[in-house]
Amino acid sequence: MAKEGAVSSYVLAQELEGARGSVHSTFRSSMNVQADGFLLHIGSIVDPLSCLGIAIPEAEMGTLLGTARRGDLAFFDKGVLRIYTRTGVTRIAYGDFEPVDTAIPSLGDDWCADVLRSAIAPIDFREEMGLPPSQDLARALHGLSCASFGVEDVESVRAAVRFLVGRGLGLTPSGDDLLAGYGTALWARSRDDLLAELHMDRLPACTTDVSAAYLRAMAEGHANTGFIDLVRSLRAGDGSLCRGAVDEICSIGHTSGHDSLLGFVVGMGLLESIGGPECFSCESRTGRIAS
Amino acid sequence: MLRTVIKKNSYQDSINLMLLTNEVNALAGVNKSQIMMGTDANKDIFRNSGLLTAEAEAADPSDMVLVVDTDDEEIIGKVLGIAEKFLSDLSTKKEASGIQEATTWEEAYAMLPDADLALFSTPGEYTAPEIEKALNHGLHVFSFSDNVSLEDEVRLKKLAHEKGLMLMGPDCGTGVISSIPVAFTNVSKPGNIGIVGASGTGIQEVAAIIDRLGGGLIHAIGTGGRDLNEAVGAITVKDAIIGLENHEPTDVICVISKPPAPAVRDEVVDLLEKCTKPVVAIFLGEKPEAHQGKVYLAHTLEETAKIAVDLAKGSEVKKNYLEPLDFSCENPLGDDKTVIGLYSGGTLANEAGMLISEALDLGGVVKEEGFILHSQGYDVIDLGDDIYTQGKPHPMIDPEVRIDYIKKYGAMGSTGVILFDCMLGYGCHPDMAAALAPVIKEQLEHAKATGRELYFVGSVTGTENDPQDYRKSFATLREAGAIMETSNARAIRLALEIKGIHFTEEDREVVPYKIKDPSPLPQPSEQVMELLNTTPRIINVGVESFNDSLRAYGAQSVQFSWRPLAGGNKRMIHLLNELEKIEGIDEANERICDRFKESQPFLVDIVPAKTVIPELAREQKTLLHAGPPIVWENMMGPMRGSCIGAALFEGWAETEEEALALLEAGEVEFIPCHHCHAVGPMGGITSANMAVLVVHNMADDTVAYCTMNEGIGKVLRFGAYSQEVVDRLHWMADELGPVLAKALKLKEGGINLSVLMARAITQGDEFHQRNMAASLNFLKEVAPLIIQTDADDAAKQRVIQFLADTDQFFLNVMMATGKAIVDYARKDKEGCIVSTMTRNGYDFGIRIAALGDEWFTAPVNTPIGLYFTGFTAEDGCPDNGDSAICETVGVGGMAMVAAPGVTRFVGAGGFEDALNISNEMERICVTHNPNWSIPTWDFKGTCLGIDIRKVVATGITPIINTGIAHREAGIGQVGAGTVRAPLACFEKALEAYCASLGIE
Repeated sequence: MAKEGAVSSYVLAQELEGARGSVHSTFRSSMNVQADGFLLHIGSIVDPLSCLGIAIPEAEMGTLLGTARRGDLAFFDKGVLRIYTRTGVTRIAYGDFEPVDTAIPSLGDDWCADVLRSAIAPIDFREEMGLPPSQDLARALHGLSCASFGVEDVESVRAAVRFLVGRGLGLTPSGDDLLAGYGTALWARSRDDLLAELHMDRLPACTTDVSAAYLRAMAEGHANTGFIDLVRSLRAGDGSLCRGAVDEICSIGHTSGHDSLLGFVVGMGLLESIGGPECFSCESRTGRIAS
Repeated sequence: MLRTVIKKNSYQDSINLMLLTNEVNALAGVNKSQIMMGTDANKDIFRNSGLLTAEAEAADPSDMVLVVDTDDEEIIGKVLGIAEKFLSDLSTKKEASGIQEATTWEEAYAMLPDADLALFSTPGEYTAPEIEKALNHGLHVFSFSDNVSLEDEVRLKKLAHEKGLMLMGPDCGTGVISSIPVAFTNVSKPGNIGIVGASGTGIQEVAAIIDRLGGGLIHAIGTGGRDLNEAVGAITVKDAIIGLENHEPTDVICVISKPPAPAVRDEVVDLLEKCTKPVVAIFLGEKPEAHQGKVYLAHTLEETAKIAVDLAKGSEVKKNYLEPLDFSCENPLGDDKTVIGLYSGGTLANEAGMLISEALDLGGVVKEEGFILHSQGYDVIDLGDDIYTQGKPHPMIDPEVRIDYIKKYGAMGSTGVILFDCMLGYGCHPDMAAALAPVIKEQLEHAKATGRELYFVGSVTGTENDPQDYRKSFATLREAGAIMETSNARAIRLALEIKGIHFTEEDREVVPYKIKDPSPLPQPSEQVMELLNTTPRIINVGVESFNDSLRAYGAQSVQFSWRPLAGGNKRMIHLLNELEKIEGIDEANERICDRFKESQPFLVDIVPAKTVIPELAREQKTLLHAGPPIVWENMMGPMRGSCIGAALFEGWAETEEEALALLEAGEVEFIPCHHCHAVGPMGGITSANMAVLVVHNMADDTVAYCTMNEGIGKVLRFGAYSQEVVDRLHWMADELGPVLAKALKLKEGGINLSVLMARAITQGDEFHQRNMAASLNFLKEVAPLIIQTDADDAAKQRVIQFLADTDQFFLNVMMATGKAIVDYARKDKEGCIVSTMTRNGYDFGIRIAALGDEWFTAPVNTPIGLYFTGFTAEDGCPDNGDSAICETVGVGGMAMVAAPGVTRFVGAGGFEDALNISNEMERICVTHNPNWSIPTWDFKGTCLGIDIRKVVATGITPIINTGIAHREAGIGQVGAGTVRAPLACFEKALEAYCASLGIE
């Protein structure tokens, strides 16, 4: 039984006792279990902790991925997740794991934008993101950015959200990742009023199960540990910590990390710093911080 | 510091000794070592290595010399241990590849030492003792085998329970252990439901529906159909329930049973009430009106599955699980039409019989001549009943019987609906739906053509993961015209609907239950919990295809290709099983074998027989003969001819007629050679003045005698008695014997025969049919000695020439050697090793260690082999001679692979056949003799210690290489071949041995 590990505070807040479900999907180094409508991510302790999930020792993760198959039944019982595989029952005592706080902290008023600018300077978002440049994308980013500038154009933000939700390929479409990052920034900046206007809690119905789960978590004020560290670094004005958090975020998925970071940057009001919305239209421009 | 060990007279091949030296040199504490034979040339090597000690220098060429340079006083003991082990087993290891197959329990245990379950699919009449063996070895048992008596089932289940084990069965067709499908079973999703079922197809139906509803199974423990019988008392059901209650991943316990004995039912329900986990149970045949306490009681198998799934999901159990059919019948069939059930699954047939009987008030199910229901034209038949499967495969495997019954009932005007099942899963027909579809279609078309209404209604029991295709099976039957439903219960309801009967189910509430036995729930055994918590490691005893599902889903299994002991002879099986319970037999046998190994035979003299055999020195005319005791009247032609020749040689008669008259008058007493420490080839006739070889076993004072080999052609031993024969006998007595005797006297201690044999066996001899190398080695030893005697040159020349011409000379020396060995071994009067094998043309006789001089005889067989030109099998005489002493000590036919050249001569084939024969002989022997190592057999020593238990158990009798005499006296040898010792001798010996140990 896996006893050493970490569990996100978001997971602990769910009422999983007695939940029944099955293995939803398996990947090279992680897997998802869906039970009673909740998607639980199971990853290795050496990788960043998902706000949706738990992390177990690497060797046990390897064993589990070798035996679990999509559709294998899963049960939550007194803080233990039991997965019934063909080769036996895997028990994960997540109730005994080290809890990790994945609630998005508040930035407060006194945070240093230059720390973030400096950390994202080497990144060419136009190249790295998962959505192709287009006028619509540029318009959407502009719309998101307006809220950040304090311009109360809720409708343009809503339009941007409608454009982005479910847009792109992959398990978590790029548009969703961007919105997740954007929403995280709004939480950090205590813009829950705008979040409420955007009805972020309705977004999950329009996209994949996995993306929906992350959007739901974001709507409830939780994010992956990379973003938690990022916000804390900005609050502390710690450039080194900030760069580390940015690197961790960018390492996630094929483009997911960059997509969500872009959304965060936009939400933090720094779209102009990376070339502005025009950079993401059809013209060839770099999406990098202007030197 | 140099330490020396000398093993006297222990010849070993130089390559083996080099390998052993390497092993010893690798030991910590050994600076260097050398192990070699004590020849002068090898002593130089010792000297050059600085290892020639005084003891090594004094060693004889036939001594094995071991010198170790070490600073560790204790090391020599370790070195000796390694040497002993190495020499005891010189075979090179074979790489294991592919599927391992065992032919004995010992082999199976060795292949899978951590086995925890034995799966039986062996003929029921032999299975009970095998189950007992498995239980006594600590294995749980899953017995697919049926036809085990109720008495045996009770006894074995009590034994299992006492040992903390489970006996699942007998007649257990289906099981799932830790999600591994066992025997005839479906592949369900792994999950948190545990089933305990006294019903194979009941488990299958419930499991398949659970799977379809999204649930999963962790265990389905089959208990066999009689477990809830009053005599058995639900031993396995109870142990299984307790096990599942304590098995953490099991969240729901589901019990499936045919109608149990009332008292047993109450005990089981009591037990279930005490469980902390939710429970659902069906006692098929009962119509529950309410749930009892915490036990949810189901009416149908489908309902059982649905309740189990709800419990597994943590959902509330509904009051009523009946869901409407997607079918309505506006014009039901009239009263003249009935419903017929033709089932392959017994429990499904039971369910059909029960529901139809309830709906139509037909008086309940019966079990008569294969009918589950047989009332007012409503027949429900379990085609898997023994009545229908005599000499035929089960209807789940073969559709033939069902097709016949479909045709029979389909043609009947009274048949309105035919209900049927289609079972999928491992072990079942690969496409039963396709097999049944044509006859269904044909019957429907025929009914339509004749204006009759006929319906086929069925269900498919299976899952998406079964080897067959569930969806395709369903569609195939539907396309054939059958109305298909998703469960047997729904199919039955639909059939009743066609008859205008609307099946209903009342809501069921929970009523309180008072536990009758307040004692706490017993604790499960460690072994049961180990079985439930791990993936099983299985010894599959019987049908090889049962391995398929086990291995496909990750269980380890070994195949035990079981055969009944003793060819199925139950008396012998009983004796063998009783002997297994007696301690000390193996140890006694080992001691006998040690005597064989430690024997040191030396040829010391050649003398007139009467000077060493008192029986031949009397006035009474006496002849020794080969084989067990025999009278003149039963002697075959060659032996009679030999007697005539001996009478002429001894001067008892002048002519053949006189000699015959003497013999027929009873004037000569006949005594077996074996009774006089002697052996004789073929007829074995030995008289007072014949020269005999004297072999002394230096292990103690055992001595043995044998006449010398006369050569080939017309010789006394084959029944010739011409003047030439008699003259040769005189020459052998007057010149050959004395000259050789003088030569032997010049060799202190005589000629070491074991060393000579060790050398000759590597040169292609097996010492019965082929002695060429041994005879040459003997000549090499004795010729220089002959030269040194004071015999005249002409005599020396004649003797040496005779030895050079007589390729089989060593045969008789070998025989005396064998006799000297067995007579030494026979002084230990315990154990069941064969101490003598011999034949007299009429009887084959054996003796065994524990029973001393007692003979066990049976009619001899006639050798099979090749015949010299002009002769055929009709000319051959039945098996003759004491030369089977060779095989008794492990050479001759027992070492066929040592002399592949002889296999063709005796008509036994080529090298492969020789190897197969030796491997076969190995199976009836206890060990190997490292003194005589066979290069062509991976340097294994010759087989040693024929164990009568193994002979009887396997039916493999020793094979003897032999010459074939003409059945008429005077003609001589006509061929060579092989012959098997008759099994009856060994069976008689086993009976007597058991009687001596108090076994009846």
